[in-house]
Amino acid sequence: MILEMKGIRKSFGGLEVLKDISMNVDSGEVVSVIGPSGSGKSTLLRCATFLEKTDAGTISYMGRSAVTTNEKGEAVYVHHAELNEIKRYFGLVFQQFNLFPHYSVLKNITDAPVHVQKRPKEEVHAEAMELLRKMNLETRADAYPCQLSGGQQQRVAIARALALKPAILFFDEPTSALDPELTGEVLKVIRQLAEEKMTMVVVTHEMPFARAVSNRVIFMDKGVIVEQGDPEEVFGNPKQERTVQFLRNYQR
Amino acid sequence: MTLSTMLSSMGGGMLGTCGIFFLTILFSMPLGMVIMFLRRSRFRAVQEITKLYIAVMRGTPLMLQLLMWYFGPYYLFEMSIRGYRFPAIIIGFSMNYAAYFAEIYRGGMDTIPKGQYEAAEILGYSKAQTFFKIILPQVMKAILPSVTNEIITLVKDTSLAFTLAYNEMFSIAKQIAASQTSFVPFIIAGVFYFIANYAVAFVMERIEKAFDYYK
Repeated sequence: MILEMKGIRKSFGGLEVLKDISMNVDSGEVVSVIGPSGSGKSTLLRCATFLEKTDAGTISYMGRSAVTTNEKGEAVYVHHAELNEIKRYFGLVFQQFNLFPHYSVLKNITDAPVHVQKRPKEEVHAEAMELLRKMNLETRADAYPCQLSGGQQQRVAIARALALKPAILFFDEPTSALDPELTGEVLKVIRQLAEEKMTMVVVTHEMPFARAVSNRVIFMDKGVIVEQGDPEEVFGNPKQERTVQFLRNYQR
Repeated sequence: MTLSTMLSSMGGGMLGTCGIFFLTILFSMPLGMVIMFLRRSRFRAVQEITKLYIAVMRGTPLMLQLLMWYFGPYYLFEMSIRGYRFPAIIIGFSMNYAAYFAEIYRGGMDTIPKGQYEAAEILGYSKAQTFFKIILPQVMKAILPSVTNEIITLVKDTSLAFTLAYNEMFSIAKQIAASQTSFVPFIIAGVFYFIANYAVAFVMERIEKAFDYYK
């Protein structure tokens, strides 16, 4: 098991955004998280990646415990050094890309492996060029993010995340800031990663993509998991009325 | 008095002017960074004290502050320190300009989207790495025009050192103008400030251009 989350609860000023959510992700699995805006799917991802602190519940990666719950029911995070070790297991691709504008494409990708993971420069450089080839961007290594289209920027962001060799990669609505034409090229890259058995959790509004690429679909609404399972089941034969209602909006 | 003797005695004052200018830049810019961090401190009390400091520094005349720094030790503690005149000027200027720089830095920090910090955190950068590698270069680009303004103001403000009877260029110009009943020293002083600021603007424009490679 790569990721185990149990009993995750999160409130923002009295508003309960996540109500007792549990989610496990196995090696090689591609999980899509769908649901209406405000259903808590992005917050779930942000809790999983420690950008947001969960109020309660447990989180562990590769069997290493990052968050436990004390007898008062409050979440307790492991000490800083251990948490930093655990952070190396995952990567995150943001909706807004969040590339570093003052770094070239290549430096965006190589800087963290070299200066955070302290790996040899030549090796990292060669791997980065390989990743850029995979993203079909090998000619743009020296460009700056502002010179790239949104789709290109997002592919650089994916390469940047992959360069750190995470065991699991999270995507937070990776195509929501892109127009339909550019969405395709990003989804193609994610699909390619799925074929290579990269473990991924994708929060998305792209229903056909979720159906085609994932092994499991999680439908969330109002802070709970309403339904989850095989994509053909969830999309083709949803069990819950709320799921039916939600999916109907996408079939028009 | 010939023009060349005027120029040579004012030239001596220019050294003092340049000294005030460069030392103020040297101390106030890093000090402004410290004040900016205190202003953004997690602790409410530290925030409030820093805010008060900035309010006083910006809300009272620099000339008055210079007098306070120079005469303060004597009136408060009956201390008279030999050779304190120049240090008092540098302290006064640096403490005042640091407050302005702190606010400029703070404005620059606010232009950095939260996503930059989050991306750095996910990629495993330490707090120090995030600040120096990711945030600071972008802040510098954002604040350059305001910093240029501030530096140009400083060039002209150096003339306030005459308050403490320090012989910088403008004080000497006034002395010569009075003794010779001549307007020429003021013209020379004006030309000097103008050329100095022209140079500042030129250098800053170069620096801005160097940051032009990205948006």
